[in-house]
Order: sequence, then structure tokens, then C-alpha cells
Amino acid sequence: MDDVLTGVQPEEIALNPAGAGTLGDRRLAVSVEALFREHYGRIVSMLTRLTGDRAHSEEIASDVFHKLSQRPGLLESREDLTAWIYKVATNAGFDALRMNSRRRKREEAAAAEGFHIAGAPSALDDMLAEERRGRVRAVLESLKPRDAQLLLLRASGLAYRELAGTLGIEATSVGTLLARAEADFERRFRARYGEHV
Amino acid sequence: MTKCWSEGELRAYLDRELSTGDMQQVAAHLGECTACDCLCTELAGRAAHVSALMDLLPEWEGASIRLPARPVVVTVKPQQHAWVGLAVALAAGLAAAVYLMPKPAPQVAAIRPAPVTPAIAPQATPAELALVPESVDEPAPRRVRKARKAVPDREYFIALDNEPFESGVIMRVDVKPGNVQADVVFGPDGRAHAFRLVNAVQRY
Repeated sequence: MDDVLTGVQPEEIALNPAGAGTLGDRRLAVSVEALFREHYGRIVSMLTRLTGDRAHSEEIASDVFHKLSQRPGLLESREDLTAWIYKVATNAGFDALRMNSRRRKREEAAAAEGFHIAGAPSALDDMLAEERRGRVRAVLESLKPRDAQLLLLRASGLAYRELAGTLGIEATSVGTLLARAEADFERRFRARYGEHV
Repeated sequence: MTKCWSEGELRAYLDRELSTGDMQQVAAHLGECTACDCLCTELAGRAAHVSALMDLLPEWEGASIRLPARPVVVTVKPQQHAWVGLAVALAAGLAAAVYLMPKPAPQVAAIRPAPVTPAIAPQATPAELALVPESVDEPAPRRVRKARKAVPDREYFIALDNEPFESGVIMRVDVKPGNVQADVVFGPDGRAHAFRLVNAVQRY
């Protein structure tokens, strides 16, 4: 798909900052490029689940890599940047979710009004589905960021080894953290919305 | 009885993320330990519930990503603009080809809607057709009259509708199989208004 990166703003990823050209800068650019190629799509996928807005998710993901490129100290620290990238992306995704919550409520109200006018069964289904998605996102937002990341990435099909590398945790801890995150998610969901989905 | 397994290990067992040996040991243990079996059942139900809720969220298929050659993303122009430009260029090229296409002879005729018995209008340009009123009786030049003698009947165009039009473009088309050629008159509205078959004499 050629339009995958249509949401990416060119000024948002600058791998050649001022003073570029030295060997160190080129090495940093290569590091960011490798991380970009490895994680960009997965981050956009995760954020799309979280925000429901693919174009916005692409912007957020691009912004994460822009931030990374602007922090050479972080790149040179030789720490595992994968966990940092996903943490920043998830936090930005939750910020976007909160910022859009008011707009979404207005849209839902407008959609409900339109439904009363149209009275089409598909409109009702769409409205109920969107309401269910809103509930899931609200509960995810209330979780600890790492738990939310874990659930989102696990739902995307990442294996335990990949989850461990992405979140910067031990592979043997993934099962325990996943079980706790699921328990917390279910408890919060039932507390808010009862037994019904 | 074998050792009990932790909650995290049982969760990994459900996802088949344990080693083969551990998978077999957990399976054997669940057959003899009611507590672990109940815990495993509870974890499985919860995981299924959470998974069903998470699946409500639409996911963009990251597998279809086509990354740029470099992460320095170039300016991305809206796709439709490129298509519009291409379509305009194609249309302009086709229009130019229509006007520049060599024609074997001046294709001039006058058309009455129906029945079609038009008179030749010699003053018109090759790419134009003019409706000639029945009262108009213009003398045809000798040159055109000769051409009419060569192909007496098939010079006439057959109108496709009853709508009058003042000018148009004649386009020769080749229909296969059989290599049947025909001249089609397109009006200013872009629709075909009349046609005639081209006989062997005209082809050569």
C-alpha cells in the first residue's frame, strides 16, 4: 500500500540534524533507521488499536522516532531503546485518546441523533460496536501503561520472547505479568460495566 | 504428586510458550492437582474474555507495510493529485491524437436525423459536420461531386438519434474481427451521433 505513510510528516523525522555529517551522526542515523524499520509498523498497529485512528497513529509513531533522533545521548547510551520507544508511543497514544475523548463524545451524540433519524439496523450495530470499543479503550487507559502495552501487543500476536524484548522484561516474567494485566483489566471492566460486554 | 506451577507458568502453558518438557509436565500435573487445574481453567476463561474484548479494537495490518528506502520520509503528496494529472495528460493526448490523426479523405456530410439522406456540405472543414436545412440548396464543387460518384451510397451517415447538432468530429474506427471500418461522428457533447461503414474503395 502506497499510502501507508501518508500520515507521516516529512519534518517529523529528521535523521540529519544540524551538524550532521560526522561519523558519529551517521552512526546515530543508522541506529534510528534500523529501529524505525523494525518497529514503526508494529507501533502504528498498536496505536491504531488504542486510538482507532490510523492516520493519527502514524503521526504519533513518526513523532516518537523524531524525538529519538533528537536525543543523541539516548542513542549513545546503549540501553535497550525498544522499550523506550514503545513506552513513549503508548503514553502518546493515551494522551491522544484523552484529548479526543471529548470530540468522540460529541461524535457519538451526533451519531445517535442520526440513528434516530435514519432508523437503520446497521446504524444501531455500528453505534453499539463503537460504544463497546470505547469501553475497552477506557479500561485500557485506566491500567498501568506497561499492562496496557502488554495487552495491546499480545493482542497483536507478539510471542512472549518478542514481548520481553519490546517491553524490556525477562521472558520468564511475561506469563506472570500477562496474567496480572488480564486480571486487572477484567476487574476494572466488570466494575465499570458489569458482566455485559 | 508433582510440583505445583505458578500462575505465570500456567498462563504461559495456555499460550504454549513453555518448553516441550515443561508443557508435558504441566499437563501431567493438571491431571492430578485440582487446585492448579481450577486455576488454569480460571486463567483460560479470563484470557479468552480479555482477548475477545481486545479483538473489538480494529487493528491496522502492519504486515502490509511498505517502508520507504530510508526513514527520512520524503514529502508525500496526495495520491489523487498524481492521478488527476495523469488523467488530464492522457485525455489531452487522446484529444490531440484525434485531431492529428490523418484522414483518407475529407469526411464531410450533412445529416438529417432520420431518415438519413444528407447532402454533402463541401465548405465545411474535414472535422466538422453541419446540419443543412432542407431548403438550402448549395451547389457542390466538382471535386466533391466526383467523390460522391465513386462511392454513391456509403457516403451517407446513419443518424443514431434525432437530436440535431451543428458540428462534430469524425473518427474512423476499426472493428475486429472482419476488419470492418466505420466513421463515427462525435458531437460537441462527446456522444456519437452518426456513423457510416467504410467500403473497400474508401479504405484504399
